[in-house]
Amino acid sequence: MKRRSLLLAAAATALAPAVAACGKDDSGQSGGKTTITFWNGFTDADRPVVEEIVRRFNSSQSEVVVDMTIQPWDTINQSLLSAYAAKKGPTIVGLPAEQFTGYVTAGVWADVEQAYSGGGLDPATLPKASIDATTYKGKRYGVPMSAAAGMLYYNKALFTKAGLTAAPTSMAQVGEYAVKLSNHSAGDETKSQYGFLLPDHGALPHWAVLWWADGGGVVAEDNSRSLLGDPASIATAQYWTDLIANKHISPAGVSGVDADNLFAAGRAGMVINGPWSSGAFTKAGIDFGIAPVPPGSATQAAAAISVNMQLAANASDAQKEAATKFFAFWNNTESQTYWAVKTGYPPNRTDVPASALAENPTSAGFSAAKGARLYLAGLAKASQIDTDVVVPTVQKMTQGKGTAAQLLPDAAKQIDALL
Amino acid sequence: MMSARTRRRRRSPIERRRALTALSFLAPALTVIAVFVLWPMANALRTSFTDARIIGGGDWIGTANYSRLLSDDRFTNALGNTAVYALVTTPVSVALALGAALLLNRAIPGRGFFRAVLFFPFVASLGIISIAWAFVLDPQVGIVNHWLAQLGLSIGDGVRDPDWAMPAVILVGIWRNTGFFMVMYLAGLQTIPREFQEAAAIDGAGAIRRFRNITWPLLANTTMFVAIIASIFSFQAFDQMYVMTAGGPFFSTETLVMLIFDTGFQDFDMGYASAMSWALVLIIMALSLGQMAYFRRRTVQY
Repeated sequence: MKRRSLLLAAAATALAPAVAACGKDDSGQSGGKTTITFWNGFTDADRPVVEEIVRRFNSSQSEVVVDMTIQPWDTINQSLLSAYAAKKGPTIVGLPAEQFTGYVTAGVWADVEQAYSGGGLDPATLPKASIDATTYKGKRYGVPMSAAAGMLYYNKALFTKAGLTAAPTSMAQVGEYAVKLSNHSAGDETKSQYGFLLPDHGALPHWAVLWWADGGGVVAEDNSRSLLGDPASIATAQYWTDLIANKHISPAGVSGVDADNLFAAGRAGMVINGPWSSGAFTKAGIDFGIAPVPPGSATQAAAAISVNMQLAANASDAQKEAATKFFAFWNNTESQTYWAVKTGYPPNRTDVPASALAENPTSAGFSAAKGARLYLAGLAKASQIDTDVVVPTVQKMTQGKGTAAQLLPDAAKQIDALL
Repeated sequence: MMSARTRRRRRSPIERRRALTALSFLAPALTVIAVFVLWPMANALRTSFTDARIIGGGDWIGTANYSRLLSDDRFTNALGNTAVYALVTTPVSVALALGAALLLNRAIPGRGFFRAVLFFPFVASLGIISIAWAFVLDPQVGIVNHWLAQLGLSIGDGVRDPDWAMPAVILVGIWRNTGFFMVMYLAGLQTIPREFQEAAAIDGAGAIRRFRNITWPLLANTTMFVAIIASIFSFQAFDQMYVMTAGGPFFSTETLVMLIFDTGFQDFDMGYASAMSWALVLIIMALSLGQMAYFRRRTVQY
């Protein structure tokens, strides 16, 4: 008798967690309120701003609660599909537009047409690039959460020291200025100064911007083929690679974080970045200016930064309605003015007057971006194309393991296979 | 074989009761192992014969994933990187651990302090110490490059340099594990009866001779354990590459586990990632069996 109870106790101990996990209520309804879960990756200085807007929404509602989890973007990307497969995915999720296609084709999201028709959102006042990037088979699946374009940050003190008075106005001038601003210390790079940082991973797509400006690119605008093997892409890549190798305008293979650190240490003349870095640069005591990325020989282009909110396909009707309310609240004039002033992003709405942003010059500066273009938008294998082909190819090139003419045509072939 | 079978048949009631009690004590642990180790492994084996993605897919495709492994350059590259990493880290960290253990087994001043210092890296989070190492070794802002520059030496582009990235992650791997293996060896050294050493010393054997003929052979059991664990550790290497180099530059530090992670959770190709995992399981199993067969002949009992 005793032994049997011992066995039972052992079995019960072992099974307890599994049983407990099965009992959890998952309907999103509790005490008459509808709970919607919300994941996003605003882990930086913008985190408290996101939290404050959600707090304001929750206190404005009696029927709806937003339960938000903020975690790094790559963590979200690695766990989102498994979470949806286990029916534990978030009701709404903020994600960069580049990742949209991979998920929408997996069928994990519902369209958000109701938010635009009667839900309080007017697409005419919202960033068109964001809405276009999240439209799939004629239906809108995304609501803008944040939208901006990479701008050229330049260190005014270093510019003055190099005899430069204003931000460059063409890509050719960027190259020229970069050489003037570079001061390579052979043998001890901890003393070097760099003219124009060109990070190749964990950053805005610097190389894509260079290619676009001079008529090349990673993929054609209709996503039909890779442009990396085209003469324009090869010539541009070789030009900047030579500047890195011979004039040391940037260390090779740096990440976005490395680049931020060098700029914040006052050891870099120029870098392209989003509004989120301005706070750290100011705190580091850098006197910087912000200018649009200048035009190249073909066009003026900047890397669009677009984060949009999507709705889970398995959300209940009550949750859908709650999400629609939240989408409208996030994008109302008051929230957007607060968002812009506190983070330095331009507001999502075009009808926020410039005077409302006067408090934060970064936000006003970023509102002046030109030629915003999404990198690898609409491609199901966007992140694979970037991390498995573009990044290693650029690294080989800048580390001197082959010329642009040798490496890029092969990379184009690899990308074509992934389109 | 025969005697075992007869014994089992003639088990007395007391023995049977004892076995049942033993089993019931083991049941919780066995259940956990079955649910969290064996079942996922079996599941992964099934997945490896399908084209499963995280959502969707899952059709049976036979051994296609395994034949794809044979012609995949990136897999071959990761296998090569893992082999290089294992071939350097395993012997070097085991040798350093043995040296440190021999040194710190003596009554030297500050012995406890040095033991703690060597063991510390194993306790600290590898992710966090990798961030610290990446900073220290950074060519533009790192202190090591600055010091080396004073001596006229250079580590190129540090962890971003294809020639230096692998040595850097190997260094961190060795630095981390040596302390743990040292503790294993210290435990082994304590079990060697003092009389053996004393008798040899009286017979006129010098320090080197005593190490060769007494200490080293009597440490064989510890060496077997340490060598097997060390090679398993190196085949599982992931953290410091993920943090310091992200497998780059251009896959030069991408190990098998990194590639599995990337294939499964970046490219969402679960079927292929499962096939790679099983290839890794088989490699580690073959290696461990080989090591056990080798060391078993050298097992000592005293």
